[in-house]
Amino acid sequence: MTIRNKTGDLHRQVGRYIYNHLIETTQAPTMAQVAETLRCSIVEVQAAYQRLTEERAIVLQASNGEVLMAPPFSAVPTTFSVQSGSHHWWANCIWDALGIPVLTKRDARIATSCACCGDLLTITVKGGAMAERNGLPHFALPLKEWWKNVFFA
Amino acid sequence: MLLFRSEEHVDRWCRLWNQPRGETFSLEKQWELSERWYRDRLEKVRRQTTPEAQAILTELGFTSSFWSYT
Repeated sequence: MTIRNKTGDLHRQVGRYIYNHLIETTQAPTMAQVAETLRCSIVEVQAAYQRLTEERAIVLQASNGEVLMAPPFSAVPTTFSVQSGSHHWWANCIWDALGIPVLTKRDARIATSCACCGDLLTITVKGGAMAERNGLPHFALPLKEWWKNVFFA
Repeated sequence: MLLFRSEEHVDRWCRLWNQPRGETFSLEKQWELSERWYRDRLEKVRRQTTPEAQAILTELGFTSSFWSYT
């Protein structure tokens, strides 16, 4: 279990805990879990989330302030499924779907659907490289527009 | 950042949903970008700064105005 190093930057420790939790359990931790594990208050966790949001390291759910995205992971189901052994994650987009096997250093099978017709598109990653693949990534918006509406981008 | 079967399907989707036709590139290029983007995320526990992100894109050949943060 991670114990907060009181001399370190709490927001960085919170970020690390979020990632570790997602990798190990496939779920984002709640604020209460973060506070309990790092032995800090909910207010301190919220302040850490604010800093991580300003750095665009995470995106929060509007309704409750919990983690929505810790790229490449999504905390909620999406159309980008990433399976690795018994682990199943959700990614935010095709960029992030490929980022999960990179970040976790695991083989993975990515499944999504053609955004036009709905047909299944799959990609397998083995040994740090793509094996089977099909599909064509499309970026509708220029880069400078992405963070105006990151959910659409 | 969606995945499509082909250029034809991208065009159809853009027409159907009245969305701008952006840029497409190969999955191999996307892999390069994702690999470069996320390979040190766990060590840094932060997203790249804008200059760092722009440098990665330039390094990988994404140099058009579409890929500019400014």
